[in-house]
Amino acid sequence: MPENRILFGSYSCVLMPGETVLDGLLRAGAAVPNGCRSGVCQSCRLKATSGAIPKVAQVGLRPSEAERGIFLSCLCRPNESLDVELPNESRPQPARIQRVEALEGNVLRVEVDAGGFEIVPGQFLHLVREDGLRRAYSVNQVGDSVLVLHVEELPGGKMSGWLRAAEGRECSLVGPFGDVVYRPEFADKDIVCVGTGTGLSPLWGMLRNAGAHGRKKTLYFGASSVSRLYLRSELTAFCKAEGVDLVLSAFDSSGQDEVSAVPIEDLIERGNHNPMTTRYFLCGAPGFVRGLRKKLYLSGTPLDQILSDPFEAFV
Amino acid sequence: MSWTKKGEAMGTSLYERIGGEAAVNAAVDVFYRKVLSDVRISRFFDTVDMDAQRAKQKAFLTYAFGGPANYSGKDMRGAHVHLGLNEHHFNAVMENLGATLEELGVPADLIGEAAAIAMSVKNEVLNR
Repeated sequence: MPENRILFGSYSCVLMPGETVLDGLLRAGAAVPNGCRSGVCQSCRLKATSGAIPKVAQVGLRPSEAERGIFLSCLCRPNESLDVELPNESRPQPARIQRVEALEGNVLRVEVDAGGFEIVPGQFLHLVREDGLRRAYSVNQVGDSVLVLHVEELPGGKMSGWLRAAEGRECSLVGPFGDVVYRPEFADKDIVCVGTGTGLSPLWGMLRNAGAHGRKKTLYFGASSVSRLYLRSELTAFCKAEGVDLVLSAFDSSGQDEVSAVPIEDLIERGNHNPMTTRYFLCGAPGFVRGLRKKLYLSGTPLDQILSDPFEAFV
Repeated sequence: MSWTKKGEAMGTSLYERIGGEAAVNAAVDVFYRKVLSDVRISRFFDTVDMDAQRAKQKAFLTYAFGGPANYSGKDMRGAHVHLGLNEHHFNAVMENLGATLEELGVPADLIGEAAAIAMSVKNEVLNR
């Protein structure tokens, strides 16, 4: 059996049977960026300058990227040797944490001074700490050189715990990634956004850019408790000003005060959205996003009318 | 979409008679939704990457309609061997294929021809 050798700069490894390119290179001591190790976060993107990439390792990439030889190293079990390098867009760009504000509901509002980093609200980036720790965050707002992120403070969270006190600290950014972006060609259908927890961040960001959208816009925002419906009054004011129907849901709601106790999936069903003329944007916990996407597809929505960014946890 | 029994005597391919790529496109979401909802086999189709899974269904239907698809017996066997499939699973997929085509109004004889193509790879799919 011929051996499959991976060359990455000065690193070289021979893959063991069934081993991915990522695991092989890590074993050889190369610091290949990685995160979820399941093909979602795209941290592990590499570019093959020689050798064939199995299609399964290009899942979720744009056709133009796949053509250039970009692939996800955590999914890549090649049938031959490969020469690989970091793609241009995976090279980290320097940035600085400018301001961190603790909002209600265990959410941090993080302002990042990002220079000319190109990204649009709704997309996500990787924030990389000086020691290499990396997490993916969606962008809620893009200012002159400042980006706004909404970060959930997780118990024992390595990055969120550090961010709380990280004002002034240097970091780097990689990206942009993600499909939750408003495009002019979306004017043809109604928009339904569904977010849980900080899934709200990219959806709100995208809706900021959808001001000219002439058809119906609906935002479903859910959380485990009413107290976690963060920035609720600002969101309500925004939706009112922009003509977005806002539907709030929380498990522990008493059903009054405009927050329903009915689960989000049921609220969406009651919304009676026409599958053929609605485009959905889903963000939040992976189990929820995947389950909802499948449910929407099964009830008649074409798959290409469901765009989602599941917030996959990092290993 | 309507199918007519044209070209029978002239030997036109099944793929042409069944409606070619347009027929595949009409059938793929009907079929994919059926198998995802069929508790006997949904676990084989219920994957994280729905776009890739849908593309596989499209390829399968193209093949079953006698269309351009270059699968060797080895490909069929290799693609399914790790799934641990049995007769019941195979029959469930055949049922869903038939139901899909009936729902779309495909004439019974064309359904029969497509079914025969699918049946022809049964041993490979079940690794017999």
